[in-house]
Amino acid sequence: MSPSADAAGPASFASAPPLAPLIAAQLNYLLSHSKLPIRVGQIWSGCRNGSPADRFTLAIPFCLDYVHWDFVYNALSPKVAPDVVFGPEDERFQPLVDYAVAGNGDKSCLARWDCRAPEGLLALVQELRELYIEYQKKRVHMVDDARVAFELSTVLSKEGIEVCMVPSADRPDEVKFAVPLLDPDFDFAKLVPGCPWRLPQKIHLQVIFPISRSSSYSSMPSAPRLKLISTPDLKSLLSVEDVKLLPWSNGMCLAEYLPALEDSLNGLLVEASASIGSRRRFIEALAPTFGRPLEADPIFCRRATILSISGIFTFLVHFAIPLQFPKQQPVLTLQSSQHCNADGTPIMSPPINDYPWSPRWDQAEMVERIYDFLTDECQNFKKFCSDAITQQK
Amino acid sequence: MALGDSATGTPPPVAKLSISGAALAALLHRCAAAAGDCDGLLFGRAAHLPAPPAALSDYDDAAAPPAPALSISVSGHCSLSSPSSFSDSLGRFHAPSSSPAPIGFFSSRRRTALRPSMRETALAYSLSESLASAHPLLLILVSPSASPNHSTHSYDYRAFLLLAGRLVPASLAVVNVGPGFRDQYHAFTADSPMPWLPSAPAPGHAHTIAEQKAVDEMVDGFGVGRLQGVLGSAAGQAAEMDEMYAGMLRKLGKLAREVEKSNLRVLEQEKRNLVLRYKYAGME
Repeated sequence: MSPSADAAGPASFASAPPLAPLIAAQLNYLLSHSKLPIRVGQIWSGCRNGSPADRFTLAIPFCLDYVHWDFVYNALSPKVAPDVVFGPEDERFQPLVDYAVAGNGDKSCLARWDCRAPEGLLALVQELRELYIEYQKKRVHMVDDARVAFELSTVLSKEGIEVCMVPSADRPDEVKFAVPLLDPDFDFAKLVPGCPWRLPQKIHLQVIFPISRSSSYSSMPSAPRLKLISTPDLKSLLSVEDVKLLPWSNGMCLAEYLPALEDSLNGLLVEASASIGSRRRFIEALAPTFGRPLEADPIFCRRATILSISGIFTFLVHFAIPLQFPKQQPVLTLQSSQHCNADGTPIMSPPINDYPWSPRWDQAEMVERIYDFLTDECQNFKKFCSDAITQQK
Repeated sequence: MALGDSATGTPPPVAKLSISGAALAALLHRCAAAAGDCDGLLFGRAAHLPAPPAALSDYDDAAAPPAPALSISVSGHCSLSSPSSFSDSLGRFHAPSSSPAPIGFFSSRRRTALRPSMRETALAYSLSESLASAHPLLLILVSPSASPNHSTHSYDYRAFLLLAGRLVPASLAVVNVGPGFRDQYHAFTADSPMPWLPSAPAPGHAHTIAEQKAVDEMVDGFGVGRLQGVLGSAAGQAAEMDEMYAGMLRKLGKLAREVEKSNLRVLEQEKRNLVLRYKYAGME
């Protein structure tokens, strides 16, 4: 599971009563200003008559997963600061007790809580998340495993790293590292002109170390499970699932493994950015042959649609251009402008990606060849549409 | 940060928790009647139980689990109308006023998980430190709920004891009337002090006005002299006792009516406060 940016929905749910105004202001501020993709779960009321709503669950990204915390306000006592109920497995996460022990509670945003300040909730969530990261780091530090201790001592200073314990009932415990691979200030706007992303995009390496129960140094610890995880928006630029990870050799550690991976990833990003250029040139090359595209994706150049005519048969051609363009050819889908199925939606052809193709052709030749292919294919498609219509009758 | 692997398995109960049926009913009513969330202090007694007599058994290994040596019983609560009135936003305890030392606190939140929240945990620590009592602090979480048409009311509650830095769930026994609860009555000792009684005045002196007033507070229309007479006579005059009892009931009745009237005024003020709070929160 990876944090999703588009899921940060509006702060109101159809079934839930409306939030009290002061609370709604804080929640909306949080959703529009947070750098993290925080999601709102359930919203409900703690009042006797069921309105207004004053408590909600927030899914807060942590270590490539989410923690779900209930924020409990009091609509009828607006001046009282909200309380938080953490997950059932986090009973030892007691931030306010830690403040009391250290005697530095005054630095908490709760110490000067103002219910009329909309940024209060955002500050509280950020503060608690920072404390939670530290709490999980301490938990991992207490694991009795020589390798994990070594990894911690070498990579924990890396900015933005998060670690946590993965509890499991049937297996031995595991330790999860979420290592950010790009520079914190990596600027995608340089790679992608007109980059539309509001939230910072990240690529993380997820490393899961199994913890051997027998604390023996003789046996070599097994290799960790590695996985690249990116923020969802990044998928339109680079598919990290397709990136081949370097093998983990015996006795390796993260500090050795990371630099090579970061280098190759930076190379891949430059390539991905170059691929946008070649896709753009392909879309531009469509115009002389097919006419100006009706629609085209102007930023990542992944899609284009053209209108074409053969005799009196009018149809659309959708081009889905893969990330590996030009190594992989665009996937074509034909859509009739004259035939509709029983539901009233236009008839579409199955995706076509087996037409003649060579990545070595230049863009103009690619378009020419597709044009030649479509001249024949559209007749098949016309027949396909007529057959579909006949079957309906 | 309180960390450390929790001990596996359930430890033997540290204390026997109990609450009288009437005290629990009053507590649940308070939580359900509140318009929003509420919290308050719990009062009661903690006592060390005498060691149980050695079990007579032929089998050494068939020993019963060790009985808890401590008994904590809740006898009542006090709660203000607004939540978090005895702690700040960081869960630091502020004593409301001079009152008997509480044995713990309760917190009622509607439709929330019955596990201690961030602030409740902090309050438990803070209260435990300020009380510095020998027994573990008690927390009762209540979650009242009602079906949409208010035909069914449910009260979920769970008790916790603060043990070694953790709030550990504990079972709470409800003590009712009946033979099954005889143990409780045997263990009962009165908590209230003996009421003040006038002593015989020195010969030649009348009772002071202060003494008369003190008697008036307990019994309506009963002179100090008559009370002295009842106390003094060894045989005890039944008629006089009846008369005094009737006078006490009259006094109680009068007090109850006064409480009723003032409660009404408190309720009206509460309603006005609620309207003001609604306005403050931007809800009309």
